[in-house]
Amino acid sequence: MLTQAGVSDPHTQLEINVILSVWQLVCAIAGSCLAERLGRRILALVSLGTCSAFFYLLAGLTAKYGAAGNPSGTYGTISVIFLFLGAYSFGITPLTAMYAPEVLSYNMRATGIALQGIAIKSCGVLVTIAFPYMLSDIGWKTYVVNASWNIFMWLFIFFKWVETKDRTLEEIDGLFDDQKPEAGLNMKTLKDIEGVGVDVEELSKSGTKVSHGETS
Amino acid sequence: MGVLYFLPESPRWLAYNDRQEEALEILARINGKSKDDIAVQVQYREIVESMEYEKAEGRSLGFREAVRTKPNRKRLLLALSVAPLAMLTGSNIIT
Repeated sequence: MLTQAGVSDPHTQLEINVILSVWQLVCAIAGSCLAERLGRRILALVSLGTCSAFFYLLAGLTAKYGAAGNPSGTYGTISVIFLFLGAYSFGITPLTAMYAPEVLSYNMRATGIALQGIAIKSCGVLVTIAFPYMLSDIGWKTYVVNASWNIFMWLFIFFKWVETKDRTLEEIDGLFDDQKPEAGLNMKTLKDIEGVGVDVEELSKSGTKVSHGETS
Repeated sequence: MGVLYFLPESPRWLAYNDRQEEALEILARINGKSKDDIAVQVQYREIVESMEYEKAEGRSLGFREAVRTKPNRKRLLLALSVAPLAMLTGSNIIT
């Protein structure tokens, strides 16, 4: 990657990679801290959106300055790499760990996480095996292909992902099906009545109305 | 590993293992409120009821059951969509 950008000295490459790792760590921590405030969907959409934009920029810069030995061009390319990985680490890194356990219900969490693991490794294998050929054959156009694929991912998240922010695991369950037991009240309506002043006795009566439906 | 020592026990795990009283205490602590607080009580009830339901329904679902019902397929789809999001967005090519 750095070779494509025009940095060929191994020592400089190493330096850049070390700083990149630190930078990614900082962004990932910042993103994790903000995940609950921003919401998962916003975090994913902003992160994916900005990193795709930087990806297109990177494609352009690599195409123009990649082999030319223009120092300004090389610096520009490297700064875009930093911005790309920053955007990625800010949202996608924390979500990788967070989102699946949140959307999976208790009884399928183990299976779901196992399958997610398989899916992640499979995608990893695809990237490791296919992309070097792609890079050597079509060079910077690989970035354009990948960034365009990201647009599909973005649309998928926009239309399909559910927001899990500010919800208990039980409430998230309720988003997927209403056959699972839900207490008669959720936290939102609760906050409304709390102001009015409901005594706990009464609440416990209404809260026990639970429908145990069959899941089939 | 060191951090784990300071984390409270999972209230859901406690409730699952018939340690309801401790579960309620931890919930109150996490919410920063007392055990009698309405919000804590509602959360607690939700957890206990879900646990009872899940115990009655059988434990873990295998792959086949996980894809049999529509809500479960949607859950799985969302969980699996994280994989291409993490691996195929380009960070692997760039680094």
